Formats: sequence, C-alpha cells, structure tokens
Amino acid sequence: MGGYLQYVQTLDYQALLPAMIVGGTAVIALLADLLLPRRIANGTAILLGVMATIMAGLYASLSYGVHYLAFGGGFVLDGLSVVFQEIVLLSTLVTLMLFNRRGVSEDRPAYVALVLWSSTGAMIMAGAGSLMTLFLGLEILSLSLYCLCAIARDREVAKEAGFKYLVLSSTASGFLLYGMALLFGATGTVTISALIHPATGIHGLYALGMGIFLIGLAFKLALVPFHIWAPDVYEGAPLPVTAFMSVATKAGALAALARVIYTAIPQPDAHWLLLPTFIFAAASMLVGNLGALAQTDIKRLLAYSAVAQAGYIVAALAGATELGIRSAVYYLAAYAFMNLGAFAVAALLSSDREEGTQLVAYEGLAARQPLLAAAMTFFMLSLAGMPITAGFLGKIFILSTTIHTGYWPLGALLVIGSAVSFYVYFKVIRAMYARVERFSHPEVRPPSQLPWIAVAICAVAVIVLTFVPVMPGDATFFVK
Amino acid sequence: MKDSFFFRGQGWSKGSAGSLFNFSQGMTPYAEVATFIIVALLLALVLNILPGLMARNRYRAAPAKSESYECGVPPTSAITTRFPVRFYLIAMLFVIFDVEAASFYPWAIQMHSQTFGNPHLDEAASYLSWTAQMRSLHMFFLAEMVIFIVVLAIGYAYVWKRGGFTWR
Repeated sequence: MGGYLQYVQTLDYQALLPAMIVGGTAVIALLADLLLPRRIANGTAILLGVMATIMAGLYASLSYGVHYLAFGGGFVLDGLSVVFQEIVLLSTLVTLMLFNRRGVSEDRPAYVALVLWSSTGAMIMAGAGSLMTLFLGLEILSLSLYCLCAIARDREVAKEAGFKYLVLSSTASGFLLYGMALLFGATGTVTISALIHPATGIHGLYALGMGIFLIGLAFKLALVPFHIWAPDVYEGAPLPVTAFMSVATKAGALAALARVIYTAIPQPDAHWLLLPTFIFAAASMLVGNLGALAQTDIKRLLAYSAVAQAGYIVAALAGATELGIRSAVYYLAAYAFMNLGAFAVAALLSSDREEGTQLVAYEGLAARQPLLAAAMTFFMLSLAGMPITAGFLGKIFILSTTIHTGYWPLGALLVIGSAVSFYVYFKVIRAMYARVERFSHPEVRPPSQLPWIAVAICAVAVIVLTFVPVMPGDATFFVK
Repeated sequence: MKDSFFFRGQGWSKGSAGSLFNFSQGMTPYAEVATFIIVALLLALVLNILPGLMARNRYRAAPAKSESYECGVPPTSAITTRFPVRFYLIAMLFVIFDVEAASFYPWAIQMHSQTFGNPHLDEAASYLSWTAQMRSLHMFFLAEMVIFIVVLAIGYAYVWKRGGFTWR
C-alpha cells in the first residue's frame, strides 16, 4: 500500500471534529472582530464561543462508547478522550461566561479566540495517541496561554506572570520533548500504546526517557517540586484565564498522564518507574495545603489548593487499576465544577478596575449578598471534602483505590492533607460570615447575568455529582 | 514492530535497541552522535587554544589588533546602540509569516510523493481508476492548502486591521 494518505478517511476527521469546531470558531471570532463594530463584536465573540463549546460538547458526547484510532493511531477516540474533552469544554464554557465584564478588556474577541485555541490544544492532548500529537496539543495549549497570562499589560503582575510562565513552561516543554526523543530512540515508535513492546522491554534508555517525559508532565500539572510557578502565574493572569488554567490545562495533562500510565508502561515494572510521580503527588498533597494556609489572595489560595488537588487525582492513578481511572475522572469532574464555581463567585465580586480576589473583599459578604456567600461556602466545603458534597465522595473513591492497590501511604497523606485544607477553606467561609466589615465596600454590580449562570451551573453540577455519582460505566474503553 | 503514525513498520531499531552501544551489529546511531559531539568539542577547543599558542606577544600588544577592523575606517560609535523597539514587532511578524510560508515546501514534497511519485497508486489496489485516485488526492491536497492559506490570510488581515504594520 502507499503512504498513510490512503488510510485517512472521513471518520478520522469526524473523530477530530469537536476540536476542529472549537479551533475554527476561534478564527471566526477574529473575523467578527475585523468586520463588526467593537461594541457588537465583543458580545458576538462570546456568543460564538459559547455556542461552539456547546456544539462540540454535544457532538463529542455522541461518540462516547466508540473506539476508533484516527490518523493511524495519532488521535484516539475512546472513553478517556471523550470524558476529558467534555471536562475541557465545560471549563471553556464557564471561562467564556466569566469574560463578560465591562471595561477590563476592550479586545474581547482576541481573548475568546485565544481561550478557544487553548481549549483545542487541551482537547487534542486528551485524545493524543502518539507522542507527536501529544506535543502538538500541548504547544497549542501553552502558546495561547502565554499570551492570555500577559494580556492585561497595564498590570505589573501580569507581565511577571506571562514571563514566568513562558520561560518555565518552555523549559518543561523541552524536558518533555527530550524525553519523547529518548523514548523514540529506545523503542523506534512514537505511538504511545506501542511503546511497550515485548522485543524492547524496559531498559536504561526507556526508563530515562520516561522519567524525563514524566517530569515534563508533572510541571504542567504543577506537582510539587515543579509547582513554584503556579501561584505567581495564577495571581497575574486575568481571573477567567486563571479559572481556565486551573481546570483545562490540568485535564489535558492528566489525560496524557493517564494514557501513558495505562497503555505505555508495562505493569510489573510500573512500581519503580512511576514511583517518582507518586512521590511528587504525595508531596503535592502536603505542600499544596500547607502553602495555602498563609495566602490572603483568593487566586493564590486556589493555586496552592489546585496543586494539592492535582496530587489527589494523580494518587488515584497509582497501581493503574480500572477503579483508579474511574475515581480520577470522577474527582476531576467534581474538582472542575467546584473550582470553576469558586472563580465565578470571585468574578461576580470583581469591579471594572480591580479583581476582587483579596480575602478582605469577602468580609461580611453574607450580609451583603447572602446567596453568593452561600454558593461560595458550598464550593469551599466541597473543595475541602465535607460529607454530602461531591468532593467528599471523590476523596472516598480515591482513598479506597489507594488502599485497594496497596499504595496506602498516598491515602494516608490524602487524609492528612484534607485535614489541613479544612483550615484553608474555612478561612474564606469565616471571612464571609464571621468577620465584621472593617470598611465599606463599594457596591459591585456585575454588568451581566452570565457569571451568575456560571455559578448556578457549577452549584447544580456539584449537587448532581453528589447524588448521582456519574462514573464512566464502560471502563473497558478506559483501559486500552 | 507495530505500525505507527509516522513510521509505518520501518523501525530502524529492531535488533539494536537493547543497548546504547551494540558492537556486534556495528555502531548504533547514538555512537555516531557521540562521535559528532566529541569531534565538535575537540575542534572548538583546538581552534580556540591554537591561535594563543601560535601568536607572538608583540602582535597581541598592538592596540589595532583589538579593534573591529584592523585596517580600514576607524569605528565612529559603539556597537551597542539603542534602536526603536518597534523593529521588534516587525521582526516578529516577519518571522511568523516567513515560517508559515516555509511550510509550503513539505506540502509540495508530500503531494508529489503521494501522487506522481507513488509507485503503489495502481488500479489493482483500489476500485478507483488511476485517474480518479489521482484526482481525489489532488483535491485533498488543494483543499488542505486552501484552508491553510485562508487561516493565514485571516491572521494577516487581523494584524493589519489592528495596526500591526503601522509605524507608530
């Protein structure tokens, strides 16, 4: 047979269609900026983005249960990719809703386009079946995020965030690429599922390549020795972008990590090959929660909390069991909604000029806006893992997984980390309910109802996830 | 060797992937890379040290030796002058569009090797005739390039509209 072109079929493009819808809409949003007057263009771009994410989400959900190797194995359509794509799309949807604020950004179509491209990259990562596709997705994701971090140019912290993220993330990409090169040298293939091969097995070059590769992924997940950038970048980036980064980037990197753990590492050797990753996860649970104790800025607080939460999710993958990936996906979905909800509340407290992310802005919120305070309390309790919230259920799943697979120290650290995190999240709740206002707050009136809708969506989703623990049922699609 | 996306069953490391240096089958590609690095390092070292050893001290002491041009017009200003940061934007835009134009080349090569240069494109392998296969492949490549250029043009128009090319 000839080249691979003869294998490319319409089905291959259909597998990629959700990502293409989102990426194509970004171009259309730029066109809207070119052709329409500014006032109309801003709203149109957000509307286009919201419609595209909903359409892509619906289309992706149709192919749940299908297992198809598109482009000769370069892009995999299976349960794992669909679920992670849905999580990425949901976080994109909420992010776009948070953008609808006055004044902060005059060129909103550019924001929308960059967020959509970022989301396209994360979706490609979620379905990457080859190391090349994985890197392509990662770079599409990262390049847009570099711009998004620094987009509020008049703020000093934004410049710092953009620069830090650019330098450190590029270094991590270099690590990742070097690891991929060594893996290719060791096995002669870039297809992730073909990396284990009976003839090649595990040897020095493979282990070295996999180690460097995993360091690159750990950076993107902000696991502990590689987490230093996260608080500064989260603080400097605009609030919706921070919300997006804390969920979509992590979802993309987690999908890649899960696929590598489940398909590319032979299980008898997985213990020692993956041990560093799980040590990173263990350290993240402790350092993330301890670091959050001292924070007074809600974005920095949530950045440290995101470090710890990523540790919890990676701990679920230890042992590479079917139950593990299911609890990881459940916890990621729950985490996505609680975190996005918290950011949506923060967006509602932000005025045109400044972002209401200092903890002081939350003092006496219960008296001013009881509904908003209640929603924030709910998200904080869920992040901490109070019983009868989705966060609690997810932690129980992860705990049982770690005990089941014999990685019980990870489970023990999860409990200790959660205990510390209670103080962190209750700090926010205490500020809202117990603190007396020390000075009067200017009335902040959000210009649109969209962030309210985002808060409502997230709250409802967390409640639904609590009582209907939607676990991807067809777990066979997850394993291979 | 399983088929992969880019390398369809042509893994070169079939027998020699076990160790870094497998002398029973000759040098692996890594040995060649190592040789290259060693030669490059040695050459750089030698070329740096040799002039110092060979040059005599009285030549080194002459002030003209340390100038940009040993003979010719004396330099009028320092090399590190300041220039407007606006050049930076222009340079960056140039690089972006230049690199994108460079990706026409692999497209053309790939199109040739898939169509006229493809010995496997015969009627026996497919229910389509040779001409029909050729036409569908050409349409595929044309569509691919049209999409690429349209996206590029939108980016160009966007930069233009937003004043990326004006000298402010």
